[in-house]
Amino acid sequence: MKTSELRISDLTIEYTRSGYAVRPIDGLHAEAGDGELVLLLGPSGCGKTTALSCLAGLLTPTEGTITVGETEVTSLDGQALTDYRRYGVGIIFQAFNLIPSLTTLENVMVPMRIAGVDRATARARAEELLERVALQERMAHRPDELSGGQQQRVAIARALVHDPPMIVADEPTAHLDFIQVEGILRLLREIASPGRLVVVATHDDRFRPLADRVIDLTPGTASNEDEELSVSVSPGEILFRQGDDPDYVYVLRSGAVEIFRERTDGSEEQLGTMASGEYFGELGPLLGLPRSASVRAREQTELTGYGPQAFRRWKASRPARGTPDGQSQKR
Amino acid sequence: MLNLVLRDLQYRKRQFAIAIIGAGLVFALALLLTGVRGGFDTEATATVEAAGADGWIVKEGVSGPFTSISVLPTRTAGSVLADGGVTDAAPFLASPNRLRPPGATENIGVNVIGVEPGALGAPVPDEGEALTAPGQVVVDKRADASIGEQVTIGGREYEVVGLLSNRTYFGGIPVAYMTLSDAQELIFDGAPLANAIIFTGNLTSPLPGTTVLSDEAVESDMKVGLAGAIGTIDLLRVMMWIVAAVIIGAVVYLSALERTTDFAVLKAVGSGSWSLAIGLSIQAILVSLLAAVLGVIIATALTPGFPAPTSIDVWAYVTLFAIAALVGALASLAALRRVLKVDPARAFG
Repeated sequence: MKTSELRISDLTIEYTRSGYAVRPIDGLHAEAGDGELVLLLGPSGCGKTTALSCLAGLLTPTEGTITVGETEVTSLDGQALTDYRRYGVGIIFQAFNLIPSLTTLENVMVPMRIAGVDRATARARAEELLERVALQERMAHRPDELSGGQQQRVAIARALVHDPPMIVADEPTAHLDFIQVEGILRLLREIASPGRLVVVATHDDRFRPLADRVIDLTPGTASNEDEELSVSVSPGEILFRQGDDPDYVYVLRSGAVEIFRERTDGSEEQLGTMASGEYFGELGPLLGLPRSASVRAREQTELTGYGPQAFRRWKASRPARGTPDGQSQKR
Repeated sequence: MLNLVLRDLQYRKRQFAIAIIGAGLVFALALLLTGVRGGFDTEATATVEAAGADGWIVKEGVSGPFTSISVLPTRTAGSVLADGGVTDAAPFLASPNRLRPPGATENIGVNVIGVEPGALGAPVPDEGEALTAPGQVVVDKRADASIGEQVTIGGREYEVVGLLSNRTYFGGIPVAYMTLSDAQELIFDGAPLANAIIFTGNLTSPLPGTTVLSDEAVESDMKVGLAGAIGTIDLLRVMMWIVAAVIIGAVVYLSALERTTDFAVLKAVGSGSWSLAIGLSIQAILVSLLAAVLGVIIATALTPGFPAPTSIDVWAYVTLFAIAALVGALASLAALRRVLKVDPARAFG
């Protein structure tokens, strides 16, 4: 009997956008057992979809390995990769992504016809799956004649055609109302069974109870909410680097720092400087986003780092004067 | 994959209908131009072959009887007949002129041909009677005259006794046959001269100061003056193929743009890039072939009323469909590039 254990080792994904290196996933380790429903949990921009793309064999990671059962997905190429996409994984998309010109039945048949399955066999299998997702009455309808929940059920049927060992679903309930959400979640829970692992990427923390395992991709943690610490940096020393997990909001007590972005060609784009009394780096800790710029001391500099809650308190007690928000948002 | 192509055609039928109508009109025009070009060939052949001659004797150095006014005395025909190998011979006189149809106020171009009634070169009309006496003409139907009506040619009046179909040259200018004596009166003030002596059989002893031309040489000479028009038509046809390709290409490209996510999804579920690209090419070729069918229908409907003589042979239709397939394939190139570049990860949005 086939098994579907998932092992993710040191997964790092880095790409260039507008000349900057973006690293949404940095050294991710995770494991999941056969038949589990796994949540990839995190806010927008934390790399959930990027990670799913790697799991689905649609994106090659910069570093690390992904193994599903006996298959090392990250080492596949050519026909082996095509075969993996066809038979090794089923994909459920956030926007359903059914082919609008095809009927429900034909949409489910498509992956089988692409794989060379004859029409009669593909039709029989598609009918069987559509009955399973309770859409036997809607086989001749086009996607635009179906509700969002029905379209997502068609997408689930399509993902199951080759009975793959892993199903990946990207925000599968994002476009659905709460009644439809319930049906889709029940279906996803049901198809996670021995021989098949289901990985669901979502930002919705409410799904936690449904999952057998949660892989939390939220950058940083809020464990330092109330903390306050003094930091001293020497001239040229880096306080934090772009892409780092956020920790504190910094207030300059003395000295000066420069804020810059590191481009992939090695050059630096200067964003500005901060002087005594100003603060910076608040968006990362407050919103759970990685640092979008680096900070370096221009001279001997003394700072105070505040956890999110401590920073709110400090800001509320502060006189009305201060640096403009736009200036302070440069982290 | 073919099902996907057909379903998409069905789904975007309005979009593709615009492409089919647009390209179909262009194909119809191209086909009509092909017909006009073909008409230049067939009208010359029909007029020359109607003379029924095996050879054309013209003054030495003259390229053809229809394009030159260098003349021979009419009596030369007697000398030609005296040749043992010649079975028949007659003078032949051709010259462009102006004809005023009955009741018309404007003249039209006409090609006057003078022949001896009942002799070699005399026309056999499709309707009415053959020439028998001076004052009569047998004209092509394009001269817009009926049997029994009087037409004016070069200021003189003639009675139409017979009508011919498809007897034109120099780009659809109708022929008016009249007796040799009438033609000589009209062109040479009655001097007994002719452009050529036509004969049947074999001329064993060429006459001094003359040249013998074959039908092919005479036809070829008639088309020299149309070389510019033929070149223009060929250029316009190529431009029309390009316009058709642009119309189809634009619609197929826009369709491919709309389907970018579809292509990404299909790649994500294991479809090969080339398989999708071939599907897109087939779609463009199908659209182009449907446009060609529409083009044939439009051209067929327009041909009878087309001012210039048109001759569209089977080969022209075969060529049209072959070019339409090529146009479709070329039109899909830009969209193909797009499909090949689509990243399957894009399916995640």
